[in-house]
Amino acid sequence: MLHTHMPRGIQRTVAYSIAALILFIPANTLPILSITKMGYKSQSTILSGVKELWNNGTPGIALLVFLCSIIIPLTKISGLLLLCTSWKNRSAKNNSKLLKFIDLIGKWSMLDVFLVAILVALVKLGTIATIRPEPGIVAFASVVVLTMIASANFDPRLLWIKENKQP
Amino acid sequence: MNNVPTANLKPLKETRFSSSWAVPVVALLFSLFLLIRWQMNKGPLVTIQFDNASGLTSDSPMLYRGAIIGRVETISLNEDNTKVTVVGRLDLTASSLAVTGSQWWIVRPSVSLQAISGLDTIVGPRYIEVSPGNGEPLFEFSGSNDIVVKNGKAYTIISDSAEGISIGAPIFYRGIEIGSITKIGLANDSSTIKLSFIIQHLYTPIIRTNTVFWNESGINFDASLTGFRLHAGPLASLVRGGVTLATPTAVGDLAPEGFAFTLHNESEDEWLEWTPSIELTEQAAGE
Repeated sequence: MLHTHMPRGIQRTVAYSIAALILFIPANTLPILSITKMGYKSQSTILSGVKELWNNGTPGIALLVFLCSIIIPLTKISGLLLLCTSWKNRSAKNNSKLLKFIDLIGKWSMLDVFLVAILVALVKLGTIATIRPEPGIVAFASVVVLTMIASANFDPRLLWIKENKQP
Repeated sequence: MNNVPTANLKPLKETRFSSSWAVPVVALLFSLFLLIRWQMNKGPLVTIQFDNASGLTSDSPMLYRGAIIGRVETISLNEDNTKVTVVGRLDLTASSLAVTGSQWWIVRPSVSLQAISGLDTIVGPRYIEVSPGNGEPLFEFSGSNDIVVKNGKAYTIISDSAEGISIGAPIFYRGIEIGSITKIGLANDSSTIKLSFIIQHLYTPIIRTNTVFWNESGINFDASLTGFRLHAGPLASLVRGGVTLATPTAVGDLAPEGFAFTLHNESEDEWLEWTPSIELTEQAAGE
């Protein structure tokens, strides 16, 4: 009798998660920054940056970037969607574990945005090298912000409501 | 007891759809906007076939008049490994350079007796330079091996031998350098030598169908009973070889581009006395 349809908080979480998922496409297909170095202008997307780091002998950093900018946002979004669609099928304990996990990893996905901001501010060497932000980073930052709003809108009390209702 | 108020329970009224569903819609529109704008700001792709792409890498710039107009995206061999296919992305503002007649070549440092060129590519990146044509839009090109001399007309000379003449050798008219040899090769049946040369646009009216060319390389030295006779061309032609031309006083028709002349081994005295009056082109065309 309490909730015959999706509660509003859940709806909001789902809506923001889907929005984040949509923006995840331009965030990965568009270049996030462009480097102009002695006449060479190269634009990097997140994936091409990861590839370059891997090829340049820093697989550790490549993995970190790949984890922070692709795996974590995706995990966070799919985790939230999973929680919203099927929280009734799991015990409250598992659900709150999932929620805690989502909140924990979410912090790490903003790394890229900070990285680009710092690079752009630091590397202003005039004609030798310049780094400029490209539209992809806007989309990426939006993804991170949207996932933050999505998880903030998820009302953990729902998990207990369900528990109490159980006969 | 009857006065106890009964609780009036009402389920919380919730609209069926939360207004937050507008967020994914906005996100979708924003994504489309970003993607479309990115796509629109991209210029056309041009495919250029080179014999040799040494020094070129992906991200190498493409230049016209010293300004970056695009960059190389991929370099790969063609199907039968005879050419290198370079795919470049032009800037949107430079898309008018992708037309029939545009010629593309790779600028490399070159030091020879004639000239030093492409010094900027010793430290900086190799780049592709373009000499624009003015035909229909075209996106597949065959790259030139040599630097394309802009602003001139090309002709050919048929000769028995290319002795003393090298690529870049000057072409003189009355001692003034008005053009240079751009290519030396055998004719198709290998019976003669084919020299391609370019005359600066300003001087093209001098080139008539009855213009004569002779090899001015080296020194002619005749010793006979009557005395010595020494003939030498301009100093520059001693070093790099050269071709001199003369046009008869009674000028012929303007030679069309690509017209083939024959190369004589030495000049006849009569040729040196020709004094045609030819009006030079005022302004280089196409500039």
